[in-house]
Amino acid sequence: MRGATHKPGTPPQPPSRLRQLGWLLAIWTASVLSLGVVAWLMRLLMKLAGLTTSA
Amino acid sequence: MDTLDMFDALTLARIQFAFTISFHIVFPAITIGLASFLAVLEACWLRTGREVYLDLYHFWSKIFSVNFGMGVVSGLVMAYQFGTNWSVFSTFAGGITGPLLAYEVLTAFFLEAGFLGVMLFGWKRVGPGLHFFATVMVALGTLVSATWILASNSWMQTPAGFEIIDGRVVPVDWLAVIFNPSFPYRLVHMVLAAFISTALLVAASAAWHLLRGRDSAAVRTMLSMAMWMLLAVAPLQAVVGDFHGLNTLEHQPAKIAAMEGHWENEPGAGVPLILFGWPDMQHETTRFALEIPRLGSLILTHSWDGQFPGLKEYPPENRPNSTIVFWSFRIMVGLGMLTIALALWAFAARRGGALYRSRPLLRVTVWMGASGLVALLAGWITTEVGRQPWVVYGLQRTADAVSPVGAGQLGVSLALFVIVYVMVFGAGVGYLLRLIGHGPVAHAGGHPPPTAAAGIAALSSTRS
Repeated sequence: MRGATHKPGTPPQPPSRLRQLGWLLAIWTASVLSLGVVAWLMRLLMKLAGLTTSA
Repeated sequence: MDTLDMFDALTLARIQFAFTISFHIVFPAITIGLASFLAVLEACWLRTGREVYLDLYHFWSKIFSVNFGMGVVSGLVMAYQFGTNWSVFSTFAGGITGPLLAYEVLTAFFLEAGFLGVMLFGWKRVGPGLHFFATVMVALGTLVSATWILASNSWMQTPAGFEIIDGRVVPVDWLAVIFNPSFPYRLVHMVLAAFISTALLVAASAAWHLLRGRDSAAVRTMLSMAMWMLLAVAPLQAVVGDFHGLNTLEHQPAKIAAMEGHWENEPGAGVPLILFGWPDMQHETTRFALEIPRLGSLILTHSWDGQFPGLKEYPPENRPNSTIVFWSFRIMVGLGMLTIALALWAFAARRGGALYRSRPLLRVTVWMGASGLVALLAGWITTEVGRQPWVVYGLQRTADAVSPVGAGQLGVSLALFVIVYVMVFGAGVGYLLRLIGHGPVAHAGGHPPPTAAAGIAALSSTRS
């Protein structure tokens, strides 16, 4: 996804609503995935430290 | 596993849970308060266009992000611990606590974490309207998360809407499970506590800057906003706390008896309020009691001679530890009273602008910066220790809930937690204090102004 382009001497156009929604969705997805990776790493770390689920 | 080993494992598992949750609870409390504060700041900026609100937004959103990260990491450890150390509890009550915790995790992922990214990285990309939407979603997410967690905790305090089939709890009425008798009181009490803790932190940081001569519109605005919040919410919290206490008397009277250091009733006599004393569990008395006659009856039964059960009405093995609960409750109430006094003092000081100049007031505000969090921790100690010896009140004892894990293994993991937590969260809290120490910076953002027209003009001026 590219940011809004701007030629020198002309007022910049605000990003279209569709582009804004696209960014919202992209950043939101990346953020959720990032937390997923952190959660998975924490679980892995605890498992490596010997903390496992007991029956 | 012999009895001694089991006892040690239980004690260590309880210490580990108490340690990790005490570290954890501080972060979500600030997350709840700051998320709403950020939403209000952005709304004020969109409405008025005043840069001061945006400067404050940028300042507190950095602190919010670091705090949120520490809350997530410490919270993940909590969730996994139910499986590692409390697997018997999870097997017994997981049919109810499992889904409630899962809803909280989903909220944290899809509302809080997802939209936090938009809050931080979307300023130039999504426009002011969608950015404000993201901030509101994060604030809403923190409140929804709190709702699920407190529904689960409240169910453990006052279980409802279930049946026990084959030794396991099975939900039969989810509305009754979620809206169990203590849930509404605990939810409101906790959310208000989060708002108060955050307001005290915001006020203290502003006061700290003012005491160092760093007077600016942003610093004054955050002190003023925090003090208005305290004035509105701290007295309300006292009223909510009273209702919560009455609800506890109805459903967990042994906890109230422990909180009050109340052992037995005298026929026909009102119950005094013991201001200070030392509940002695072994000798079944409260030593050195400084008491006000009949006030206990007045507060808890709203009559001069009303009575409520004393601890002696319960067998010793069913009594919570009154020594701990008595004092943790008084620490919470005492700090709450001090907060109300501070809010009133600040209100009186508004005339003539003394709020921003009175050094005694500013010093006390700095000293009380962490008092909201201390009160919050004391409150949780009161309610959790007061629930003992039960993990699910009246259904499963804490001693029966622990995993069949050896004391040695738990001891090692506890030591690891202490070392890692002190290092990681010590560094994190140090970084947070450094961020607060920098203070709000005027026009720090690189953000679009609130209206599209103003945004085009501003961008043109910076690029031409």
